[in-house]
Amino acid sequence: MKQLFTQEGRRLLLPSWLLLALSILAGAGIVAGSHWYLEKEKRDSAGSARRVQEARARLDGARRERDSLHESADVFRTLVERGLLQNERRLDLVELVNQLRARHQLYALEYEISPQRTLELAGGRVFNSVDVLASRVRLRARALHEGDLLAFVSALSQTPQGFYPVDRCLLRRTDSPLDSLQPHVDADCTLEWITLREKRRG
Amino acid sequence: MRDAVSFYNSAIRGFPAITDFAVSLSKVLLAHPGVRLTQLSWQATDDPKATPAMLPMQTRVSPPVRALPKAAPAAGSQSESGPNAPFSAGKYEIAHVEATVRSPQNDFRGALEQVERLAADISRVDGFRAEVLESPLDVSSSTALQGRFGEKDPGQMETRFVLRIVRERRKDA
Repeated sequence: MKQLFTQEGRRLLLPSWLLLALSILAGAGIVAGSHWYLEKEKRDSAGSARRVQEARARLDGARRERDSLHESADVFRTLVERGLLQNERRLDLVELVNQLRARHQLYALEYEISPQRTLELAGGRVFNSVDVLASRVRLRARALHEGDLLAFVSALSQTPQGFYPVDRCLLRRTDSPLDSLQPHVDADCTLEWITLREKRRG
Repeated sequence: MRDAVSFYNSAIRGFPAITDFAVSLSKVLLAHPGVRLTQLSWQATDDPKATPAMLPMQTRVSPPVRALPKAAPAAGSQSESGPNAPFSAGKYEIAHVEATVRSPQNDFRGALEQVERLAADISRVDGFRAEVLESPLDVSSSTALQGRFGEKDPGQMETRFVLRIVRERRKDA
């Protein structure tokens, strides 16, 4: 025991002390390096996950865009078929109204089609590539039963040619006796005949 | 293409139809055989306070007691019905429904109850809200009331009333 703390003993142990110190430094270095590497891997992994997520989001967005375009294309085709992008064909409307009047057995029918105008939309909304045009149509009709009038209005607004949203209607019972074959209801309705026109590029 | 589709989706696709409204109303009226509809003024609008134009009609037989009208009701304003009126997206359907209710002669309490019940039944329909605008007999202290009894008692009477019905379009519709 005494021998260890002699000059000779210390000299003999010096390489071992140095080796021990080096080993401790190397161990600490390995631990620090491992920790740094682990953190770097974690950061890389998080970055990769974020990039994958962003790529997935972009892919989902592109898919949604594609689906929306498909849907829009279908709707657009229907709009074109229904003549939304064509000029008004007033003769067609005159014939349609006459045809529906006969089908729904209206007693009397009067209508007025106002001059076409640029339709002002709620909230002042405007579109960059199209102008929304409309002609206000006012219909006054008399029928035996309110069902005939409602069927006429419904058929007109659902016709496969054109768009005619009915925005107001007044249905009134007339004074004629209930058991008589005279009109019992009259109607006064207004609707918009809507078309779109592509804006001319300056 | 996008603008055309966007316009269609926002303004035309979900635009309400009077027939849908009338069908829902008819279903409720089926349970109220004493009520006879005389007038329906319907409007599709974005303004929940809009007033569809309507001129009051006379009942076939005047009830023995009636409130005297204060002033002629205002018809729909020109700004909202004129040819240059802005096109609404039809967020609300508003209707003023004028009708008569049949009840035993002088049973005004029964007539009022029938009308209140009808308004409540309409309000139970999904999206509908109904209120009595003019009741079969206006018993408020601010109105003049007139009673007139003849020698004959017809047994039954018809009293006029007006309901205001508002239907709000749902977002998913």
